[in-house]
Amino acid sequence: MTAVAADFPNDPELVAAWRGGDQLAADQLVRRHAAPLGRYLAANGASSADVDDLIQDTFFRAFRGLEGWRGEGNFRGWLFRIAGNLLKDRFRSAKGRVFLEIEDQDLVDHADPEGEFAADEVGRQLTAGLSRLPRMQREVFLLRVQQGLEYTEIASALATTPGAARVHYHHAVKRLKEWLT
Amino acid sequence: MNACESVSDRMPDVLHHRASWSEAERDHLTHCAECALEWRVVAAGAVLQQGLVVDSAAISGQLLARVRDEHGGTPIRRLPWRGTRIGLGLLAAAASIAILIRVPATRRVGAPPAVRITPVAVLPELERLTETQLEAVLLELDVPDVTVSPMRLPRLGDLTDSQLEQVLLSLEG
Repeated sequence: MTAVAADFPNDPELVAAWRGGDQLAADQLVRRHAAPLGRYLAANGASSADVDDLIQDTFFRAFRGLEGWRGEGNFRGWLFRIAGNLLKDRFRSAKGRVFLEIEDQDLVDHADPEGEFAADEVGRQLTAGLSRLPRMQREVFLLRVQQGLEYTEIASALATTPGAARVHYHHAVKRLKEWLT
Repeated sequence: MNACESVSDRMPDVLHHRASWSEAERDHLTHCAECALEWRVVAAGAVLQQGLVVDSAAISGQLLARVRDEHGGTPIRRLPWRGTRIGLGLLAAAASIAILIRVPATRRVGAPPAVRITPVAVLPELERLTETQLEAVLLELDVPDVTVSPMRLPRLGDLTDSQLEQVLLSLEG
């Protein structure tokens, strides 16, 4: 068990190592969280051209602000919070326009052509529907469904309460269902 | 919490393999159109951008270089030494300059006086002149008086016997 823990240090251990000057720990943190962060940013409206830059900016801000992070909430949730703020700034500079690109990877892979077509259609409609949601509802939905975070983690990431996050989630699901029918 | 709310609440956990449906929940999903629709929405949401390719190695490399370049942006503990090292470097540079300035002065003190060799024209006519005539010629040339340099010490051969004895006595005590 100790060997496993040593091989796969958790986020607080990696953060502590990085703060102590271990650059390998920073590299591990990036490799662990870059892909989920990229998926979240892309589904949240970042253009595919901007995703890599936004991931890098997110980690850059996170590493610079580590002194202020006391380990409350999880590191991943904190990254999502920074990423969301960066994306908000980007939208603001783009005069509030939100572009949600429909990518092939949005589409669910199914063996049967009919099911595949239906899933593709749901994926397209969902992507379009997400762009119409208020920011908070969209982010809560993505953190809950795409990233699998608990309401407490979502609340920490979005600076809200678990109860409010739950309400945002149900509003989001209700609207998306209406738009998909 | 009714069946619809319970199923709805557990959907993300089932999608992320933290829970699984019970028989009753499976049955509910088959017969409840609202929950079936929600399941399709949530299932589609779980795989959004699933195939997105992120080059995390490249991002990591660029990021770490950026952190290193950013002044004060890294928590690496070598930072506190940076100022000390710069100070030591400046001190060493100042010391080098001071030595360079002083070395030529030291060399001037220790170096032998430059010997100026002036060509002497040998005139056969001078050989025939008497001492009185030579002195008259020298006076005519207006050669400046040669003063004895303090650095020029008398040779032992120039000393008289009594002076030599005094030197020997001072050396022997």
